[in-house]
Amino acid sequence: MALAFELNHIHKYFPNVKANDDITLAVEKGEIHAIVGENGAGKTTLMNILYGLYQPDSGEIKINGEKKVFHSPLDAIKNGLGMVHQNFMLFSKLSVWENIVYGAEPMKLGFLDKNTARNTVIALSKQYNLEIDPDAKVGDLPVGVRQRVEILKALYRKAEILIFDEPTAVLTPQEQTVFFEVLRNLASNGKTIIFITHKLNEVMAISDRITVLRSGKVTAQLKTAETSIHEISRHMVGHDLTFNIIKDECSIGDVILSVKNLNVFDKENFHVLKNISFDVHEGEIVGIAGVAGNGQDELIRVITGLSSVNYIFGNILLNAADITFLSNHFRRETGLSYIPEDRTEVGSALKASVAENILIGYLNNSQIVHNGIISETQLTIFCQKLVTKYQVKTSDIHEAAANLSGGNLQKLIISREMNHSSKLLIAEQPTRGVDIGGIEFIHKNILEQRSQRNGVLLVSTELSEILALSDRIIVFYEGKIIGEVNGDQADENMIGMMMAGVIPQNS
Amino acid sequence: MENLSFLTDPIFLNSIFRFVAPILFAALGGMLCTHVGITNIALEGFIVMGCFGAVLGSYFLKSAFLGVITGVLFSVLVSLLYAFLKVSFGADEVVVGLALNLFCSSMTVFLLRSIFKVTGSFTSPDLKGLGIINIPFIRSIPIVGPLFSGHTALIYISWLFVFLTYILLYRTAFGLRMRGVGEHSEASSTLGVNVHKTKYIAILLSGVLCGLAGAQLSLGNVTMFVEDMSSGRGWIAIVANLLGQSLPLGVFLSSLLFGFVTSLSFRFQGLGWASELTEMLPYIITIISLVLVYIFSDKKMKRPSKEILAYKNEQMNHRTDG
Amino acid sequence: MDSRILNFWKAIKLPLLAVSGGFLLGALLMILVGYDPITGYAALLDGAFGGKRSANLVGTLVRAAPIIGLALGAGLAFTGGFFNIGGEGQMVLGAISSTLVGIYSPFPARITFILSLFTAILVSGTYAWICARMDVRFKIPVFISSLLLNYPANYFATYLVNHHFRDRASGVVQTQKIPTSLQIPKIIPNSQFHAGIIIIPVLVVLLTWLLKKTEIGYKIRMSGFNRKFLAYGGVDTAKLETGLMFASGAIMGLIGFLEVFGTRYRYIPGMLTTPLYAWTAITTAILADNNPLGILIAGFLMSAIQNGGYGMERMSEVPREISRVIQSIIIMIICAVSGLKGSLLRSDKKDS
Repeated sequence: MALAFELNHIHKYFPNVKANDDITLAVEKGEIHAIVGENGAGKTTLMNILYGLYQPDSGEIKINGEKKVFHSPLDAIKNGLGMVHQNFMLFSKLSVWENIVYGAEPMKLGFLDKNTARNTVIALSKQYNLEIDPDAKVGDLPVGVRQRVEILKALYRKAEILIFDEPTAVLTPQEQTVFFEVLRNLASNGKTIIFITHKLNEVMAISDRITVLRSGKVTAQLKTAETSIHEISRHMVGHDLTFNIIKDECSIGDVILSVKNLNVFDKENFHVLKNISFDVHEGEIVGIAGVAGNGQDELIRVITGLSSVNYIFGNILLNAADITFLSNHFRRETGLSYIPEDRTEVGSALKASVAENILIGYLNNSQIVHNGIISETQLTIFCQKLVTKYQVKTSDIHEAAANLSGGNLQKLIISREMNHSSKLLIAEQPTRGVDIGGIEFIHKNILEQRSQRNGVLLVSTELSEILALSDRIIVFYEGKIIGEVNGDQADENMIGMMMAGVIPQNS
Repeated sequence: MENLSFLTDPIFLNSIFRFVAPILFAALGGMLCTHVGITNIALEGFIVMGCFGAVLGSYFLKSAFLGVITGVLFSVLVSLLYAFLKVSFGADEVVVGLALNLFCSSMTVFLLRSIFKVTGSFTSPDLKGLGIINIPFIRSIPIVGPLFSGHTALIYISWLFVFLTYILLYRTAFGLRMRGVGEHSEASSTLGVNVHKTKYIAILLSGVLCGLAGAQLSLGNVTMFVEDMSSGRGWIAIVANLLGQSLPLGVFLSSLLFGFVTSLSFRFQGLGWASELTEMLPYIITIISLVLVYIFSDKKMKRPSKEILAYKNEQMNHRTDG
Repeated sequence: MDSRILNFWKAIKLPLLAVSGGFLLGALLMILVGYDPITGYAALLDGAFGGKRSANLVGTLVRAAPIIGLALGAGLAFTGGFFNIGGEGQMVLGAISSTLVGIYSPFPARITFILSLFTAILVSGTYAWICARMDVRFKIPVFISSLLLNYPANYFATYLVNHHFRDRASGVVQTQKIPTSLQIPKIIPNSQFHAGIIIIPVLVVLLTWLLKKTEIGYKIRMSGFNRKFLAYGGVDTAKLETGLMFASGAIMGLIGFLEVFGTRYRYIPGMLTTPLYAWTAITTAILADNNPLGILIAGFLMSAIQNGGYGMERMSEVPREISRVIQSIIIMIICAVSGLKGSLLRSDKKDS
C-alpha cells in the first residue's frame, strides 16, 4: 500500500519544553490511524506541524513520497491535508455553505457565486453521506452536525488526509457511533484518517494502527488487532492507567446541600434545568457525570450564585438556609467553596500576584485584613504556608500568577478554596491540564475533605475520575437527572449509556 | 400649531440630508470596522482631518473636486496610522482611538495656523465649495422635492454608499471574509485569509468614508474650516452604528434620525430657543436612543416565554391544590 | 534595595521612551512645516520654567494642579477597569453648582464654603455615578456614556450662566464673583498659586495608600485585572463600580471647585474647557499607567509641555498646538509598545 504521508525525525522545542522529540511516523493510504497520549504528550503539536500551523525545528514531512515544507495551513491544504480541530473553527453567525466555502469562494464576475457554492456543498454532502442543510446558521446546529460541517470544509478543499483532534470529546455516545461510521466511509473512499485521542476504547473500536506518545517521544507503534487497552496505557504512562484510589469507609451524615425541584430558564427562555432534586451529605462525594453541555454548567452557576439566568424556580438549601436568591458572598459565608472550570478567566487574575490571588478568599480573615487595611506581613506568612502545604511551585508569591504553569495555577486555586474546609466544596474539572502527580495529590485532598465530614460536589467529564472518587453518581442528560447510581455499583458502560440518554431499568 | 409648520418648510427639509450625510458616511465607515471586529472610535479624528484636507486641497488646487480628493487622502493617511497601531501593534482600542482623536484635533489646528496663518477658522472667496445639483423632475414635487433634491454630489453619493457597503459585505467574497474575520479571526486565518490585511482594508475604507464626511462638512455644509469642526459627529456616528446593528439599512435609518434631530435643533435656535439647549439636543437624543436600545434588548431578553408563564401558572395551581 | 531601583527603572522605561519619541517627532514636524526646532524647544523650556522671577514655572505648577487632580480621578476609575472619560463634564457641573451655591447661599461663610465643596463633589460624583448605573443596568459601556454626557454638561452650564445667572454689571458672559470670604487665599503673590493646590499632593499620597494598603484599593485593582474573578470571589461588583465612578466623578468636582474658588472666583464658560485640562489629564493617566505618584510627575510634565507651548507661541512662531501634537504622539508610542507587550504575553500563555 502506498504511503499517504511520512513524518521523519521531527523535533520541536517550545520555551520550556521539548514538545516533539525525534518522532518518526508513516501512515498508509486508506488507513485509520490513532495517535494517543496523555495531556502534554505532544500529540496536538505533532499534528499541528503536519498541518502547517507550526514549523518543525528539524525533521522532514513527506506527502505521497515527496518532501514538503509547510509554511502555513494553506500549504498543507494544497497538499491534500484537512484538519478538524478540537475547538471547531466555525462562524456561528454564518450559514453552513458560507462556512464551507469560506476562503475558497466560487466567484462569478467578481461577485460571490452563491448558487455554485450551495450546489457544490449539496453535492459533496450527498457524495460522502453527510447530511446537512446548507442554509442553516451554524450557531443553531447541534455539535454533531457542526462536526459534519468541519469535515465537509476539508473535503471541499479536496483533502485526502484528514486529521481529527479529540473528535469525540463533545459527542454523545450515539453521535460517536455515527461518527465512526463516517470515518469508515471516508476510509473506504480512499481517505487517510488520523485522529488524536486519549480514549482508549475508541482507539480499539475504530483504528487500524496506533502510535503512542509520551513526553514528546514515540513509545510504541502498534497494530490495533494485535494489542490491548492495557498495553497501550502502559506505553502511555509507563504504568496502567487506572486511578489507584482507596477510599476509607465513611458513613454519611446530615444534609449539607439540598436542591429541590430546581427549574431554570436561561436568557433565551430555554428550559435548561428540569426538575433537579438531589442532596449532598456530610462525608459524601457526589459526582455529576454527563457530556458537556447538558446542564451541569448552569446547575453549578445557579448553586454558586454566579448565574445571570432569568428565571429560577425551586429551592436550594445550604446548611438549612435557603440561598436560592442570595448573593455568592452570602453563600460563601454560609459554607461554600468553589473550584471553577475556567481557571484563567474566572478562578484567577493572571496579572495580579500569587498572594493577591489568594487574598480574595480571605478578605474577612481578621488577621490579614483589619479595619479595611491589609497587613502585608500577615498576608505573606499566610500565603507562604498555603503554597507550601499544597505544593504550588512558585518562585515568589509576589510575582504575577501568569508566571505559574497551568497545573500550578490549578493547585493555587485549589489551595485557596480547600483551605476554607467549607461544609460544601464544589469542584469543576479539578484536574484538567494537571500532570499525573498533581492529579493524585488533588484527589487525595478531595478525599481529605470527605474524611473531615465535609461534602463535595464533583463535576467532571473524565468518567474515570467520577467513578474513582464518587460515593454517588448523578447523570445529567438534556437538563434532567436521568439516573442516580451508587459509586460501588457503577461502571463505565452503565454511566456511558445514561450519558447518551438511555434510561436505566431499575437495577 | 404654528410651531410645527416649519416641518414642511423647504429650507428645513433641504437641511435634513445635509446633516445626515456626514454622520451617515462616518457611521458606514464604523460599520465596516465593526464587521472585522474593530470598534473604531477615531472616526471623529478622521472626519476633522477630512475637513481640513478638503479645504487645503480646494484652496491650493482651485477645485472642489480636488479638495474632496485631498480630504479623503488626509483621512486615509490618518486611518493608516490608526491601523498600524491597532492591527500591527495590537494597541488598546479605546486608548489608540483617543490618541488619534487628540492627534487629529491638534494637528489640524497646528496646520491651520502654520499654513494659513489664522486662528479659529479659515475661509476665503477663493475657496471652491461643492455645488448644488438639482434633480430635474423631483425638484418640483412638494415636500419630496426639497428633501431629496438640491444637494451636493457628496450627499447623493452617501446614499449610494449604503448600497455599495451592502454589496461589499453580503455579495462579495471579500465581504464574507471580513465578516468571518470579525467573528472568529483564528478560524479565518487557518482558512487562509490574511486577517491583518482584511482589517487594514476595512480601516482604510472607513478612512475614505470619513474623508468624504469631512469634505461634505467643510466644502458642502459651509465653505470654510473651523477648529474641531467635526464637533462630536464621530461619536454620534458610533452610536448610529450601534443602533443600526451594523446593518447598512439600520445605519442609514439611525443616521437619518440623528441628522433630523440636528436640523431640528438648528431650527429651534432660529425660533428663539437658547442656542446651548438646542446644541444639547442631538446628544440628549443620542443618549436616550442608546438607553432605549439597551432597555429594549434587555426587556426582550427578560420577557417570559409562553412556556415559562405556563410553568409559573402550573406552580401556582399546584400550590392551591396542594 | 537593588530590586526597588530595578522596579523604578522598569516603570519609567516606557514613559521615558515615549516622551523622547514625542519630542523627536515633534521636532521633525516643526522642520517639515518650516520652523526651527531648537528655537522652538528653547522657547518651550522658557515658557515652562523661566520667565521673570520664574513666573512661568509658577504658571506651570498652577496649571499642573487641575491636570494632576483630574488625572487622579480618571486614573482611579481606569485602575478599576472603567474608562471614565467624562471628566470634563463632571468637573464643569461641579464647578458651576458650587459657584452658584457660593454666590446665593444665605448661610455664613464657613458653612457656605463647606456646602459649596460638598455640592461640587455630590453633583459631579452623581453625574459619573449615572454612567455606572447605565452600565450595571443596561450594559452601556462607561466610556461612551461618559463621553457623550460631556457635551450636555458643558452646554447646560453655559446656558445657566448666559441666561439666568449672568453678572450683568460686568457685561461679559460670566457669573458674579463669589464673596471674598469664600475665596481661597493665594500663597504666591501676583500669581494664581492658591492654597487649594496643596490638596493635590495630599490626594496623591492618599490614593497611593488607598490602592496599595486597603481592602477597597485591592478590590479596585482586581476589578481592573479581572472583574469575573472578583464576582467569583463573592465581591459585589455592581456596588464597586457605582461607588468607584462616584468617587472618580467626585474628584473631578473637587478640582472644578478648586479652580473656581481658588483662581478666578467665578465661573466663566470655557475657563475649564479651553485649556483642555480633562483631555490632558487622560493623557497623563495613561502615560503614568494610572499610578498616583507617576501621575504627579507626568502631570507636571504635561503641564510644562502645555504651558511651554503658550510661551513658545509668544516667543517663536511655532503654534502652541504642537504641544498637543506631541502629547498625542507620546500616547501613541505608549499604546503601541504596550500592545506589543500584550500580544507577546497572550501568545506565551498557551495551555498544553
